[in-house]
Amino acid sequence: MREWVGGAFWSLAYTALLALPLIVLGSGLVGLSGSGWWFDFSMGLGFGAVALFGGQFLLTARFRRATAPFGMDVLYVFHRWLAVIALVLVLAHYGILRVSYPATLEPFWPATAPWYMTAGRASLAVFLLLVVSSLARKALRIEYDDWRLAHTVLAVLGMALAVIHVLGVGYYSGVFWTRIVLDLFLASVLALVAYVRVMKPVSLMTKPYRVSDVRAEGGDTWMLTMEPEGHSGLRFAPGQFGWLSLGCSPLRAREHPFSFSGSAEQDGTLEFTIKELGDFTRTVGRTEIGTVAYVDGPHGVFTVDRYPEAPGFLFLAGGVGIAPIASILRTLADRGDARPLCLVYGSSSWERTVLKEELARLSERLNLEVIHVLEELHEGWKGAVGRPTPELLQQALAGLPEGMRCFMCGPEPMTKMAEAALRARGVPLRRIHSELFDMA
Amino acid sequence: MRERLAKVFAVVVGGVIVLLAGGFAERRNAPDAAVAEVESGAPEAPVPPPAEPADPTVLERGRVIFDEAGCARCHRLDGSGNPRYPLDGVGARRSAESIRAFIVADGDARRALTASVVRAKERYRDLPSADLDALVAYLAASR
Repeated sequence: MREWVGGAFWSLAYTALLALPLIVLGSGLVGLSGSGWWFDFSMGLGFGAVALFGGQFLLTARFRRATAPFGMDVLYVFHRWLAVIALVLVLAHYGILRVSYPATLEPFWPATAPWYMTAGRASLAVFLLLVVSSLARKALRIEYDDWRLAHTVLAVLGMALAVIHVLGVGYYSGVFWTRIVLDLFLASVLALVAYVRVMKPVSLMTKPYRVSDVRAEGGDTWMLTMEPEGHSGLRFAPGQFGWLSLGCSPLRAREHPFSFSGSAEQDGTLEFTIKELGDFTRTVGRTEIGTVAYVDGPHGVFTVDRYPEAPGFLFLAGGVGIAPIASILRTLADRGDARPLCLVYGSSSWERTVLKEELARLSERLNLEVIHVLEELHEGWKGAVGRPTPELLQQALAGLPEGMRCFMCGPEPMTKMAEAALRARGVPLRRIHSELFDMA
Repeated sequence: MRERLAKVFAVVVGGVIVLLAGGFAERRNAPDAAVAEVESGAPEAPVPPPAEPADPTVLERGRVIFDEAGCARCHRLDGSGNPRYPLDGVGARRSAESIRAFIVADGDARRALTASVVRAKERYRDLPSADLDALVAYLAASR
């Protein structure tokens, strides 16, 4: 219930903040004659789009209190959709003028056009590039680190150009209150960028970690263990994740999100289970002992600690999606938890099944049943073959008490299937929790 | 599920912004909204019509200058151009001298305009004086 209230509060606060420039604009100009409905609508859309793009900086600043009711992973989904919507508003702002008031857009070429109109056009181009390069990053084969750097630069550039455009055109922003709101808005965006890119990394640098162990697991997966150096380390809830900067300063923004896979009861030590999937993860296995690391976290809401009253848990993992669930199981074992647990775990083959020995040990320490599902058959295998199915979930549910909660982490087709299957068997949505796998 | 909620909420926030933009347009263009802020500067007493009509060739020259100098980027006249600062009927509101001062950002008009507008308007001082006269006559004839 408290979670629900928090979510509603932050959602409303965010909406109100984005609406503020338009509300001030509208009330500050009451009684003044309009310039025609479509013209003023177009201007309103332009202001609204600037507010939406400005709000994006707030979304990705990873404020833990405000993100806690939702989960950071889903905020990035929101961030993506809001960017598309803001871009549509900018295009509509421009399109209305193009169609109904073409004279306002003359001349086109920067040599003769007023500088603030050129700034507006450039801003539109930058935002278009920003959205396309993000939605189609993989198709365009842009490396994650390059993309992140470009994303920050383009976002700040697009915003700056948009503000130059608004101030240069000067409509409505000449009115005292609208000017104050616009200035505050711009100052907040700059402060946020400074906080995220400078202040936060600098504070992270006072809390370094050293890599103490690099171990190969099955299936191109590596276990990375690190110890805090000169501090007591961060505390996390099992299932949460952190942004890891490995072997480089957090100021360089070459960080990647990974779930903590170790026990939350283990003081200070952090463990990550990382699969070789992308540009950065391919090099993880070559990490040297003693490499410095920085961790921004904990983040995320994928944790059993939010539901201490749950009578049991069903876990569903696909591939390296086992990492946060391994953390949950290890933590529950360290705490001597006696609740009934079941894990359905899909892997491509037995050799590539991550943490299988550890899971076997955990099932002795916990009231845990582990159901492995392998895509590839191998000799002597008596378990399930293929991918996790609704029937397997039904089998898993049979051993669990009414009111249990389900946590799943893995490829989207798997979580979609499971969500539908569990709902069909009467498990309410609020008891199904998932961590989105592919945030970038 | 959470992804869908995130998408729905994004659409809701976008919808709120579009509605507010529509409300903004609606309030500014309500039929009973008072007429003000049509132009910068203090309003003048109504200007009486001229004794004799202006030379049609001068007016035509003025219309061409209006187009070529890009006045429509910021001003509406005779149904086209930027509606933000309409010039329809400006000849009845301002004297020819006042119109000329606003075109080149001179005297009282300069003080009534913002710095960036003054910069934009100063360029019109380079117009040949016959062209500036024609432009003033063209605008003064809009009543």
